[in-house]
Amino acid sequence: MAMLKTVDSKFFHAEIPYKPMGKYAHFLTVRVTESYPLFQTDGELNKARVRAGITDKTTISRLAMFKRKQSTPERLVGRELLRNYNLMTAEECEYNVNFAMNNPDCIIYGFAIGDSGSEKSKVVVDTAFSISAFDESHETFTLNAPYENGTMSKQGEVTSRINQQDHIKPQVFFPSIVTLKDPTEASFLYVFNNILRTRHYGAQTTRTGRVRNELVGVVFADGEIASNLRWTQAIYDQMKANNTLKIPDPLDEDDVMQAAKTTIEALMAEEFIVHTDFIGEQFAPLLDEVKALTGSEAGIKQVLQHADQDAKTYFGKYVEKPKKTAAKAG
Amino acid sequence: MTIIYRCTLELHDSLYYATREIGRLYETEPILHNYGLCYALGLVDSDRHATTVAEEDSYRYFCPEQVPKYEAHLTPLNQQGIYVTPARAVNHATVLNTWKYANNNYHVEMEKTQKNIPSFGRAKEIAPESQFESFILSQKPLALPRWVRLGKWASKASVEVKELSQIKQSEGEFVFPHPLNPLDVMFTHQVLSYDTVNMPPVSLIRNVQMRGHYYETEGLKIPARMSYRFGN
Repeated sequence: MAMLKTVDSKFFHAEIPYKPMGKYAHFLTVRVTESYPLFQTDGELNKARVRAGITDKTTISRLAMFKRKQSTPERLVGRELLRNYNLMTAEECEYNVNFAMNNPDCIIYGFAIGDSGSEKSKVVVDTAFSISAFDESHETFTLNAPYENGTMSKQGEVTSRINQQDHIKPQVFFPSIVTLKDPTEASFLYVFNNILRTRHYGAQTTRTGRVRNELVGVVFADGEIASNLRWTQAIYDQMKANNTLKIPDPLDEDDVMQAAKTTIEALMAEEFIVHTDFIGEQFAPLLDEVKALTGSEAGIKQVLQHADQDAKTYFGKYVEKPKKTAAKAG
Repeated sequence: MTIIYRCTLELHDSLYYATREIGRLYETEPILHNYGLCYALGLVDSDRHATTVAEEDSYRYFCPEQVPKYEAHLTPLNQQGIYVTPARAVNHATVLNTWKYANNNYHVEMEKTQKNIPSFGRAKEIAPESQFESFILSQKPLALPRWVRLGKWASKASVEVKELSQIKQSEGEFVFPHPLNPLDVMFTHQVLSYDTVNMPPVSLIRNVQMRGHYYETEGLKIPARMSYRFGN
């Protein structure tokens, strides 16, 4: 029944377990901005002061892409597909309002409902940091709201509808690892597909948040691997050593991807956990297979149906049952 | 023979948990509670450390109710002779972040809340690259993970463990500057004076002057015979 041929089924559970079993799938992504996204919460762009590299210990300000700003759009893409293929309706399950608890989104990404309990997320995303410093990665825009005639004045009166806003530049790179705990084959494909398909992050109202996810590889392991920050710092060091940090010009994507690949291989070699890496050439056949599967209607339907089946089985066994016994006891 | 490890945690993401809630401001105290640390370091309900708990108390992805089970979870650590002290910040910085609950309107109407879920607030978080330090006392050598997750947002932190050498054991009056869990030392030591750090579920104490057994190493006197105790 396996859908994937390039990955050994031993990396997956036959069904979603009720407690952590120590199987991890880490998706290694580099998120590339393609227009002018906005990641802000306090009226200014999110940033963090951290060391530039592991060897280069100077402190710089980096743009930060908080975890929820990454996972929410990816969840919403998955939910859209579930509705499109009639596995869920908008009435049954509404994001952050009324979770149905029995579909792949709720079970894989988790939920918390006051008195109905909570499901811990099996997907963990960490804050991602830009490789280049904040100063080189943002621009201040003046926004205005012109009149019908396209100008800012009407019959001699000048409008005050004008504002300034910082935006993240295109071609800014955010290395980010998405960790999926205890995957089944279908939940692995469900999350994989969400990462591949999500195109917009950050403030939706601006319509400028285009971001492309480039996958560097997938690592199957029995534990956690290096952090986004460590990986970003390693890439910075290597690009500095290779003279490919062309400040103030944007970084070259080929240089970034090359550095991302070699540094994660070096970081993985330092870990003392059991891991199987699909990086670079080893990753290409897996990526092709997943793209072929999720790119056809029959394929994506199959993935979603399997994921839905996994979620329903889990719900029936572990979520619905404790509630019934609790009701009996009460 | 007791082994003492100095455990250094470095944050790789901003860390948040609510030590204090002041209206809509949620503040993170730069101290890691020792209960939380036991979970983060993977010492609770673990085959490897022989601390497995009863099936009905085991950690699950689905939690039908939000009731902590510290006593059931931490007592097996006592049986294995494992004890973790709360961690103090070696160096840290804080950041203020506003968080919202999905809604991204440009005006917010205050509605009467039906559920106990705040819609937005400001969180004082501990910045990435801050460092914490705690001591782990164990009867057996421990293999600890290199990466752990801490706090409400499950923020990644790196773990470095160094075994302390030339440990001398003695008894008497001494001062321990780092934070301690009062419940875990007050039954074995006479606690003379201390500063309190208010935090749930058990407030901690530091700069503790006390009398009793201690281990002396690297210029520090670390209380001996600590174990998890629960008042009942």
